Amino acid sequence: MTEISAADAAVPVVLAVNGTEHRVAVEPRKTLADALREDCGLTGTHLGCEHGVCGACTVLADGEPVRSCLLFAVQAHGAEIRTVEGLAAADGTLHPLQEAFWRHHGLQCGFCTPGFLMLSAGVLESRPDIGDDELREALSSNLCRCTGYQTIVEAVQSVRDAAEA
Amino acid sequence: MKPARFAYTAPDTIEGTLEALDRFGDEAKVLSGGQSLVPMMNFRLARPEVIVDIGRVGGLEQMSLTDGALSVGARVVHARLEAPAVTAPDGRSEPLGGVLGSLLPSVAHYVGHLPIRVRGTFGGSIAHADPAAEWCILARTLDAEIVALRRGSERVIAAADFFETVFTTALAPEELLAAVRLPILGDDWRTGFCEFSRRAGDFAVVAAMTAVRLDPVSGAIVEARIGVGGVAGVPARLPAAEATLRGEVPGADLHAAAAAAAAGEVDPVGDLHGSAAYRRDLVRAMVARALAQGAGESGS
Amino acid sequence: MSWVGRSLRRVEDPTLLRGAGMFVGDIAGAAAARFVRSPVASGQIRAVRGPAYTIADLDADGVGSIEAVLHRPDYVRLAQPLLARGWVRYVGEPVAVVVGDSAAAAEDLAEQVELDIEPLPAAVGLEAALAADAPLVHPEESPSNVMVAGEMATPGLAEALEDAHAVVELEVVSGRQAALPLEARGSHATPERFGGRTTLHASIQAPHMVRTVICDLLGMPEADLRVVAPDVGGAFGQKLPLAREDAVVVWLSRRLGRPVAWIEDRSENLMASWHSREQRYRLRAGFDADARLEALQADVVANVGAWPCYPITWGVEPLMALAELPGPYKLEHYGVRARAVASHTCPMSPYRGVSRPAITLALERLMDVAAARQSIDPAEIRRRNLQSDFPHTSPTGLRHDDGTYREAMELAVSHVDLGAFRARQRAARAAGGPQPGIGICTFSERTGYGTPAFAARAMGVTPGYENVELSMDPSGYVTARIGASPHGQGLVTALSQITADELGTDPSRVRVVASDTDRTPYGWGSFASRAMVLAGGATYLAAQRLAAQIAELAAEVLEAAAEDIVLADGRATVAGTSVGMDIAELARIAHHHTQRLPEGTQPGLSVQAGYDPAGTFSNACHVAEVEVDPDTGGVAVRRFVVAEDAGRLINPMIADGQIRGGVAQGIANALLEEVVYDEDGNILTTSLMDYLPPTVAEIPDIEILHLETLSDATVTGAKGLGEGGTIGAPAAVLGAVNDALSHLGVELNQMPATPERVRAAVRAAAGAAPAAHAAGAASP
Ligand SMILES: Cc1cc2nc3c(=O)[nH]c(=O)nc-3n(C[C@H](O)[C@H](O)[C@H](O)COP(=O)(O)OP(=O)(O)OC[C@H]3O[C@@H](n4cnc5c(N)ncnc54)[C@H](O)[C@@H]3O)c2cc1C
Ligand code: FES
Ligand code: FES
Repeated sequence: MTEISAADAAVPVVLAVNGTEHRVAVEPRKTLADALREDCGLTGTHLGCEHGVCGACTVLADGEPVRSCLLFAVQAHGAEIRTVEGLAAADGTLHPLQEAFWRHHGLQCGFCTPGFLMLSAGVLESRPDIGDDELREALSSNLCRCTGYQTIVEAVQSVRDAAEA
Repeated sequence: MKPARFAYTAPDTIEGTLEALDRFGDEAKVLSGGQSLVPMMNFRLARPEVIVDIGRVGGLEQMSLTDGALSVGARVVHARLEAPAVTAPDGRSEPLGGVLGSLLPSVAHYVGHLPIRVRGTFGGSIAHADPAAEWCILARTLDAEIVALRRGSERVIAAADFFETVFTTALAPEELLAAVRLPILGDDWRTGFCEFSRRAGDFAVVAAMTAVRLDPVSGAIVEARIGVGGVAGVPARLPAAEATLRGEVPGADLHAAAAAAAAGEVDPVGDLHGSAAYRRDLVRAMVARALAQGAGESGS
Repeated sequence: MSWVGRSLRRVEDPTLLRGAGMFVGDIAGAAAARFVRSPVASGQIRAVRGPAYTIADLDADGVGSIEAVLHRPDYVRLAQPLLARGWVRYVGEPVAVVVGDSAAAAEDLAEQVELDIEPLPAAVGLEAALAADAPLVHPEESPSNVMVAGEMATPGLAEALEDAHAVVELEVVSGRQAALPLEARGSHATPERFGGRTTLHASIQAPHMVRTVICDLLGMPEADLRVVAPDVGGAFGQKLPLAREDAVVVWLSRRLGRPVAWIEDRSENLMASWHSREQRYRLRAGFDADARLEALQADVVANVGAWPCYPITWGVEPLMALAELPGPYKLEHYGVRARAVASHTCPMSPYRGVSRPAITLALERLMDVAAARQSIDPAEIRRRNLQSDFPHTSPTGLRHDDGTYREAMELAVSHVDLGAFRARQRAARAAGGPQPGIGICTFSERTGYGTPAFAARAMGVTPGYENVELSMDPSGYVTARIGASPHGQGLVTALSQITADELGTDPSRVRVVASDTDRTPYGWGSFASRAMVLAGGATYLAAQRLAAQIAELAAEVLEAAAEDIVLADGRATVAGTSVGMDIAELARIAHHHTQRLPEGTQPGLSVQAGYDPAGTFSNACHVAEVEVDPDTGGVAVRRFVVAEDAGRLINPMIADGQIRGGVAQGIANALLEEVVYDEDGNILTTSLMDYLPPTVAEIPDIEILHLETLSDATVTGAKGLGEGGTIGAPAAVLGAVNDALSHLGVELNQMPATPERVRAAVRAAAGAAPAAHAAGAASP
């Protein structure tokens, strides 16, 4: 019989986040988002709804953008997770997407920004030549309440175009 | 908005899964992509005692052609149906062609957003049985077969019998939905899928799917299927509207007549996103457009 | 070269881009509070059982009640307890609070609390609350649900209406909406281990005001509470009023002697944070034969929910409508009655634009309907009616400073090429299918309110002024400590630009400290498009003072006259000579070599300035182009043009960002967003699947055209613009929807114009039974 973890016991989980292994012990009910924020100290991943709509919690799991509020930390055991904290280079140089969001004023309050950055990173890594319409559609996955989106789209387009050139 | 406590198990085999389901019965819930179950747990609208995570089970992610059907494994994620590929008998993967090969991506595209599509599964959507879910409408319209396993036995459930009411299916708590078989449609089929939603990626308020088979000589419709979702507790076929099509040649007037029959035939349930009367109007518009799309007219 | 007017990248951004921002939910190490909320709209509390604190515990500690006051004879004054006492008055009202080790554990505990509440009849919605036999929300304090009413009329109104060439009557409705910052509310209180002070971090807009009211409630000296607004994930008005929850969190942390945090979840936020906008306008307007508006009579009611909000009270929406309804138009005869109506629903607070999105919607619908009745173009009727002589005083006594009401409209209208649009529209009408429509909205927006404007409202406290403390440290860097509390508006960047210009230094040498009551002078925070005008003005004045101080110092050291000192490029130079020195060097002297200065010179370099203007008006014209699907009622916004005049733009990039974000909210307000209750008062929109903020797919690119009329009413020449986008967009979009369907005889004066409402209007116009209406792409 497969092992069963009791509801109130902390389960040991290894989370590989931004290339670092975090050995944490979490209740099965703890979402990846909460584990990242509370157990790994990575509070750049934000929670805007906790039901899958806003995308503020978007991280990359094995390269794909996912809602970390809809994934239990126990499910992420063994996956390669990337969060906004891992986007800049080790020496602190901003990632081209971070630079572009800055240059294009793609953020105001900044609460949605980590989610949009990770969504965009996932999209551009898998489809570097994505067309404008499809890019807009992909970006419709997340909500921003401040910018009206145009500058976010422009920022991501500029990174795509720079990489293509 | 944090879930209630649950015990957790992640078997790596189908047998292990069936054992767990058998042991815990209705205390347990299968966790597949989690894109419907986890939001409900976060709201504490669902509070299973035990979660049986099938994310590590091998053998549920296959897509293959067998006996005139496309078998879609329960854990095939929506995103894979945007560019469907099947495993040939020799183990190689090749793109799915034919009518289904173009229909599935056009429908998959409507399911939620990219991050939902990379996690959420076809089987999860069918088992969840949201009456507006695209895959449920497709399964019902095409009379798909649902393959359910339980410890020591297997059964096949027709889509018509599978969906019972909102979020309720014929699946027993001990059963695992293993695969869904979609009938292969020959080249004489014309399909259309159209939905109206409030925002990009939202569940449809109303969606309609149509599939008609044409006589190769006369061009008349010999077989017609119209399915709608977002109207009542389960996705439904519309026999009266289908009847108006049979024996006729597709065209704007015919489509309008069928759409009117569809609107007359449904008995919608109103809610926050649309009253019964409004949904009836949408049925008419969506059915007309899906038919137009199938006939190659602009269905917008 | 000037820094003001340049689109500098924001200094706020790198931290946020790295995910290194500090939002209140990011602060670790607190117990979690969870509020147990009323499941019924109206009821009497019989008992609360379980591991929870209730109002009895607060009472036992002598905690006070919130009193949001308007000094008006007709105002019903209430004392609002921090948790429900005796009765509950809306679904979501906090009745009890539990504390657990984690948010999940607190939620487990909350489930164990049993609320024994006897349900009572509820008044839900405007009509129900106004009905003669309506259940009363505060029966002991008020015999009706009207909580404040204002009335005025200019002499001759009735005659003017009677004599008018054409009279237009119109009912316009704005649905209930939520500001919906992406970060919900939250607070985190830590009692100091020794000394008795407490620190509150909270996601709020006005930290000083929150400190005052919490200290009043808890009987603490203000010096003992430090309130910090860390990074705030959007606010839009929802984080301006005092949250009862924040006060309870401070009380809990002090009582338990441990840090306590409350992080609101989305469903609480939608259910029990502030709602806004629910209003109904009944207009009767007289026009002359040339379609000039001569007289306007209005009845305005706002469903303000179950409790007032502190400090603006529930008078804010109706009374603003009363004062500002005449808008940008010439109007002589005006009469209005405006009422705040309580109901068993969530309380209302201002949301971006406050009353003005609804005011503007009402007035612009009136213009469009009048234009249609008199068969003139929507642009033409505005051309004839817009105010063009400035300054101009409105019938309610508001002084409009110089603006470009007509110019902005002409600019926007010529930009979209109305003629070409009409040709496309004719073609689409002939072809059937989706129908294009265009809508024009012109408006002026009162911004930069200081004390005089707020004093006119007669609130219990009068907000207004802003203070800034500016100092230069020995390294020559400048620190501005401001009372305002920014949260996404780029204020830090903009203020550093203003300061740099006055001091002849580089913006990178300016730091702005905000949002911390221990480190900033008392101020009113950021709301009502005021921060740029108020904090900007105060900073400008302070920088001038600091520049004068530096010039005097330089004059002393360089042995020249202070008037001859020029500050530029980081140097103080004697005009017309090459004699000069680095400002940083002067800063050293001011701090470290005061012996070189004449006796009596104050050491250091620091100044203070306050600013408190009467207010100014910015103006804009919005043009929306939509496509309406008559079969589904679906509306897509295809194009959106803004021509606006907000005076001097300190940082145009930031200004454009404010406009775009505002317009996006306005479009969503117009088409998507609505808080819905059932008739028993259960709220149906408690998730983002039901309450629908827009995605990028629903928001077009927004084309912005600038006019720059410097305000004579502000020291920087800037006018506020934070709310304008949201104010104009709903009317432009509704105008466009009506225009698209005008050939079918559709008139729709309600926002949001949901697909269902649009479809119903199409049907009503067709006057046919459902089956009779031809639908579908197949129909001609
Ligand atoms: C923001 C958002 C938007 C969405 N929009 C859409 C949309 O437009 N259209 C749409 O169709 N869906 C939409 N979804 C839902 C999404 O498609 C889900 O993926 C799908 O409904 C369920 O699949 P899942 O794999 O995530 O299942 P889960 O959430 O894991 O499970 C759902 C239910 O099915 C049961 N179940 C799952 N797999 C099995 C199995 N193999 N055997 C037995 N029982 C099983 C579970 O126990 C549970 O009760 C949306 C979701 C979100 C969060
Ligand atoms: S917090 Fe995960 S989608 Fe909103
Ligand atoms: S920048 Fe505030 S939500 Fe996007």
